[in-house]
Amino acid sequence: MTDQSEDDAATPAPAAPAATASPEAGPCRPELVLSRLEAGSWQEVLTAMAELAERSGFGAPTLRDALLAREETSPTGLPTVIPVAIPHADAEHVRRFGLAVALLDRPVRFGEMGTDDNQVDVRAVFMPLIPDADKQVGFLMSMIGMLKDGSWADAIQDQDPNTIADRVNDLLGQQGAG
Amino acid sequence: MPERAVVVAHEVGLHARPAASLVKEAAKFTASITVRHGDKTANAKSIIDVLGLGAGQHAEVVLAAEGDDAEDALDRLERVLSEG
Repeated sequence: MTDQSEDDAATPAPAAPAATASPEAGPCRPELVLSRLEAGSWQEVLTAMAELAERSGFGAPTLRDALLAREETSPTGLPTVIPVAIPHADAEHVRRFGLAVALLDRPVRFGEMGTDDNQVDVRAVFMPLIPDADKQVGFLMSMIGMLKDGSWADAIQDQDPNTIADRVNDLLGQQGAG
Repeated sequence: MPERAVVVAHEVGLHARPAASLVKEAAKFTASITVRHGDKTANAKSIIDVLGLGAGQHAEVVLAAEGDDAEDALDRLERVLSEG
């Protein structure tokens, strides 16, 4: 017979949200940043980011499957100057407002949003985590404003997660979000 | 140029999937098509433009089209936006 304390020890506890940024700092937190992700497919990218979001207390356990299912039917690659993807899931799969960011070690092919079969070789992935559906459109508009001209890349490439989070929040703030 | 004012019906407004549906439908027409929301105007065939409009549910947008199939395009896109 196993006592309760051993059972508890064998069950991974959910990671507490890291206290590396104040709540006022903006949606991108260092614990949601993968500064150099090696992945061979969009499924691997989304899995890594969903697991990070769940461990950090931002994503529900259902987030990964929800992201994969949605990306399969509604791809989110964007042919911006520097191609990006903006995968996301419905509010029910999100626990806290945040923005996860992954800079990819090498481009990963995603389907292009708004087309039936075009593809884009994505260099970075920005995953909004929005538990309030009413805020999705406004946040997306700010994110697109930040991403469309490619200048964001100079600010965050080859930086550590803390710096990336700070600079992404600054850039979003300039677009009216944060 | 024919125009059509339409209220966005989708419950999350012109978020990713509704915006993608609009762009896919717009691409089926040869006409030049724009969507105006407030002081912003988007090429209806550009997903980046359309996402940048920030049009939420119940927002009024104005569709405009120019070309041989402009009226057909407006009819179709009006349905996409108003059906939610």
